[in-house]
Amino acid sequence: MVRNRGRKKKDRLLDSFLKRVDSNDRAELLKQFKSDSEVRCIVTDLLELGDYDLSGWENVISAARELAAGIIDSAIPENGEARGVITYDSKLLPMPEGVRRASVDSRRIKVQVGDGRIAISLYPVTPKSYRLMGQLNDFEDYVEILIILRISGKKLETTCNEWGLFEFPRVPCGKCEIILKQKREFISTFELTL
Amino acid sequence: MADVKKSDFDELLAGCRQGDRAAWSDLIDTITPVVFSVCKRAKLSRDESFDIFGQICLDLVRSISEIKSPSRICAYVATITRRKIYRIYRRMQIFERISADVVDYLHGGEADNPENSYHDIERYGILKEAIEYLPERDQRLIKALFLDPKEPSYREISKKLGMPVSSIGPTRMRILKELQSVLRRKGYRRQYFRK
Repeated sequence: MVRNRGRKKKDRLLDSFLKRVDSNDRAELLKQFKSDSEVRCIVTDLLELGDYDLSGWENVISAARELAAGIIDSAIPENGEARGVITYDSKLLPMPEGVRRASVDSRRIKVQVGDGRIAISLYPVTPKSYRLMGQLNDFEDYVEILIILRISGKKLETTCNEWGLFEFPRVPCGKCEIILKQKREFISTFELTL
Repeated sequence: MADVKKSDFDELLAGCRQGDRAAWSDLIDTITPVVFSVCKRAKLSRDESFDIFGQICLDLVRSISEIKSPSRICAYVATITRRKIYRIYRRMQIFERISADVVDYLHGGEADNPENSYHDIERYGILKEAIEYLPERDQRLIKALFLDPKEPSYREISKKLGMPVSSIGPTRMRILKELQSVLRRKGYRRQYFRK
């Protein structure tokens, strides 16, 4: 059953490829595929490879390693403190071939905090500051959740609304620590470099 | 990719349970192609695959002590990846927009064989290297014909590469034959074609 499904997929792929050529070419190609099935398989592999950025696989692996290293460092607690774990950072993901990241691009980060998740979007406001918007997801409730942001000796605080949304309109660049508390009780903390 | 034999998985996971960073690094190298391969088969974008990968890494760190069969770690990772994607699609209620074979795959309609993931990754790696052996002009034609997501027509390729439309077909076949001989020299054997 697995083999049949695999062959069906190859046939579909080849069919879509053959429709892209004119009728004379198609007849010639079919003749050649029949006499040399190895070439036929190379063509289907090429078409499948097209789903992936050809030169991007090594970059994805390298980004994945960097993300995983951060996850392992954060998720294996050394002093028993509950820490949020960054499980996604758009800044780590390599750009497609030939595309350069613009300095005004927003950055998206996802942090796992226990069973809950925080989605953070960073928008450049000036070359040295960001607007930080966050969304808490899958928390038991969003009542009296305080978000504290410490950076460069400053302390910023905000609370989330009933849907878990919060915002810091202007956060300077640098390494910051974000602490979550609910009804004055500590939930979690994590670090972020802007 | 880490070259970890099945018999070494016990030692690898034992190292991970003790917090050995080198063991974790080897484990991550081993499971990364599995996760991305499952995501690719589920038609996820690169961004989405990266997001799923991060979640799987965290799940692995949290559940490493509970894994009972270290030698089947790849199959375990493939299964939890598939299930995670299925839950996301179900939450988003978009099954009707996904093809039936993807839904079937996510639902466990096809037995997971992580060897297939390695096979795919290894085959694509060899294919990619072989393309780089071709002359620059031939590489550009191969990329335009097979790897360009815009699927340009022969006219568009002809204009872009400055070659007559009528010569694209014969040139394509010549390049494929050349690629075939390069692949054979690099060990891309007929056995890979039986899937």
